[in-house]
This record gives sequence, structure tokens and C-alpha cells, in this order.
Amino acid sequence: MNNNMRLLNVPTEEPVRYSTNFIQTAVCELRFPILLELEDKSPVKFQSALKKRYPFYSKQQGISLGANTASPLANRYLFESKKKNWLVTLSPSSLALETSKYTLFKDFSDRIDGLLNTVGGFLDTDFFTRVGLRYINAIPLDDYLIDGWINPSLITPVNEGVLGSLSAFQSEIRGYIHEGDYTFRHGVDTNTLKNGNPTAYMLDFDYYSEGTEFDNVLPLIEKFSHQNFSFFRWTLGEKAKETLGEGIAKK
Amino acid sequence: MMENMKSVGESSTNTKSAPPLPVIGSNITPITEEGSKSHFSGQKDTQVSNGVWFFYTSQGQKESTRLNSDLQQEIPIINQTMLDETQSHNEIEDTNETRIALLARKYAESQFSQEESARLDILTEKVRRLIPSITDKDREKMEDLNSRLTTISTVNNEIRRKYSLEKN
Repeated sequence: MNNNMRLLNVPTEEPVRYSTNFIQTAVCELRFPILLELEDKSPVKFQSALKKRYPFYSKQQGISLGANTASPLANRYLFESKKKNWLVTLSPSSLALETSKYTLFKDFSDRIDGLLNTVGGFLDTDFFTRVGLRYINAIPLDDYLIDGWINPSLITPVNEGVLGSLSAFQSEIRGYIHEGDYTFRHGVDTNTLKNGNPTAYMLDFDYYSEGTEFDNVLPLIEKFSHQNFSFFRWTLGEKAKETLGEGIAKK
Repeated sequence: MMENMKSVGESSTNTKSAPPLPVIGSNITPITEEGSKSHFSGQKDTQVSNGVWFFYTSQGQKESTRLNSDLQQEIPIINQTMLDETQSHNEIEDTNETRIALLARKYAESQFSQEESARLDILTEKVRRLIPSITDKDREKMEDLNSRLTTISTVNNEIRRKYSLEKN
């Protein structure tokens, strides 16, 4: 990172635990030096090691569509928990943990730790080329208005009304944090429209760093999570903060 | 390996009683006398007849190994060293194959990801370690040559001194 780069500079807030949260999906992705055998062979040893906690196994073959062409993408192997709310995805060069039932960072972090202990040795590497943590939040717009739910600094053109009624609105910002980079996407997706009115506002935070040693993964994602709390709070409007309430300070 | 071969050669060909248990390496351990069983990796049953050891596969297939003292010298001795060498050979082959596949990808395709590049670096380092350009044997040979050169040089000096041929 260049010394002249200015870092994300939202007000720091100490993380608290809310009784409810807006997190729709949380994902931690670890990219590692490619394992060519996973391109054409089933990951038998991974499956065997993961089956206790993630018993549902399936294989996914992606296809890349180009102009008049369709080329196959690398296989992806999916391992789901019994209740299907935790998902491990393995590809020839990445291992990801995803949940649709995020509650506490500690639970999430423990799962990643467990995953690394179980299958980390099969990856034949002592470092990851990229470590990423992503939180996709859906802020419920109970009154179908964006105004008041989101920090006005993010939605000035929408609030001013000069753009008229919007059928979709998306914005992407990329920047730097101490530990690496971030990508922040926000907006209204056409999928969340009801009778032309928005029902949810998406806040998608993605933090990542390249070249991380195996043992530094957990401390790194903890820093990402800490950083995320301040950033997330900054993006909220008063209505969203009221919905969340005070929260309980983490020990 | 040579020690094992000497042990194998010690069994007698003419005796009608069971020959001494052949020593065939760490993975083969005949443990009892005539007609008894022992384990030989994939080959499970052992039998002695007229001074000849028979090793049968666990399925009792025909491809049993016939081992007597005449043949013992001809049969390759399987011991841990050879197994280690085979494993090492396989590791070298596998590593090389994967490395070549990645190199081909690097030069044939327009995109070469960071993850592919990282694995190529790891494999290149592994190949350097597994197949060093100068081996321990090469070093030994060089040291031997050096030692011989020193000896020759000493002898030459002796001759020069003896015949007063020292350089001025």
C-alpha cells in the first residue's frame, strides 16, 4: 500500500451484540495455491473429514458464458450442515465458509478454526493468497422509503429526488484499511422491489488481504470484523439504529 | 540390501527339512516353520515344500512367488530403502507432472491466476529440493577427485625433490 493512501476513516465504535441483526449472509473465503487434482477428481478426503459437521455433499459445475461461447469453470464442491444454514464451498483454489444464520462473530470464527483444523492440512500450503470476510446486510425498509434508514451521505442523489423513482440503484466503493482493502457495495436490487417500492436496502461489506500466513487467518478476520462494525454503524440511518437498539457490550 | 542378500544365500538347497527362514527385507517376515503362515505385504500365505518357500497372494492366485536359495539371488530384494526410493520417485514424478501442467497453462493461456502462480513457485522449490542440480553423490565424487589430486600433487612434489627438479 502506498504511504499516501488514505484509509477508511469512519468513527470508531466498540462492537456490541444486538438481539437481532440485518446480516443476510456472512462469508469467509480463503484462497490458496491451486490444487490441480481438485479440477478433475472428487475431494474424497475433504468429504470424509467434513461429513460429520457438514453431511450434505454436492458438486457444482459452473459455466462461463461469452459471446457465442460457453466454457466450463472449475468444479465447486459444496458441504452443507444438517440444518442447511452453514455451507462450506471448496474449489481448486478456494475454501469458503458461508452462513445465512449469523449470530456471533465468535461462533463464526470457531467454525473457521474448526475448518482449518479439519482440512487445512490437505491444502498443502502454509499461507493463503487471499483472505476475505464479507457481510451482506439487508436493511428492511418497513415504510418503503430509503430516507431515514441509510446514512444520508450515501444516498444524496436518491433523496434529492432529481433521479425520479428508481427501479434499481447500486453503488460500489473500493478503498483501503490497515489490514488490506475493502469493497463496499450498497443499493436497492430489483429483486427487493414490491409493487415498485423498495423493501430492503443492501449493504455489502467485503474486506480482504493478500498473502496471509496460515496462523494469522483468525486474528486477521477478527480485525476485519471489528472494522466492519464501525463501518456498518456509519452507514445506518436513525431508523435502522432504532430498530437495532442499544445492544449489549461484548466482553 | 547386500546384507539381506547374504542372509538369503545362506539357506541350503539340498536339505529336505525346511530351510532357514529367508530374510527378504523389513516388509517380509516369515515367522514360523514349515506350513505355517506369515505376511508378505500383499502376499499373505507362506508354505515350505522340499526346501522351497512359496508365497501366495491373499486370494491364493497362481502368481505366487517361488523362492529357493538358487533363485533368491535373482529376485529383487524389497526392503524399506527401495520402498522409500519408489515413494520418492513417485513424489518427484507427481511434482514434476503438476509443475509442467502449470507451466503449460502459464504459457498457453492468457490468464494465470495468483493461486496458480503460487503453486508453481511451491512446486519449483520442491523440485529443486527433490532433484538438486548437485547431489550428495556428486559432492562425494568431487571430494574424492580433490583428494586424489592432492595425493598426485604430493607424489609429484616428492619426485621433484628426489630428483632436484624443484621450481625456482
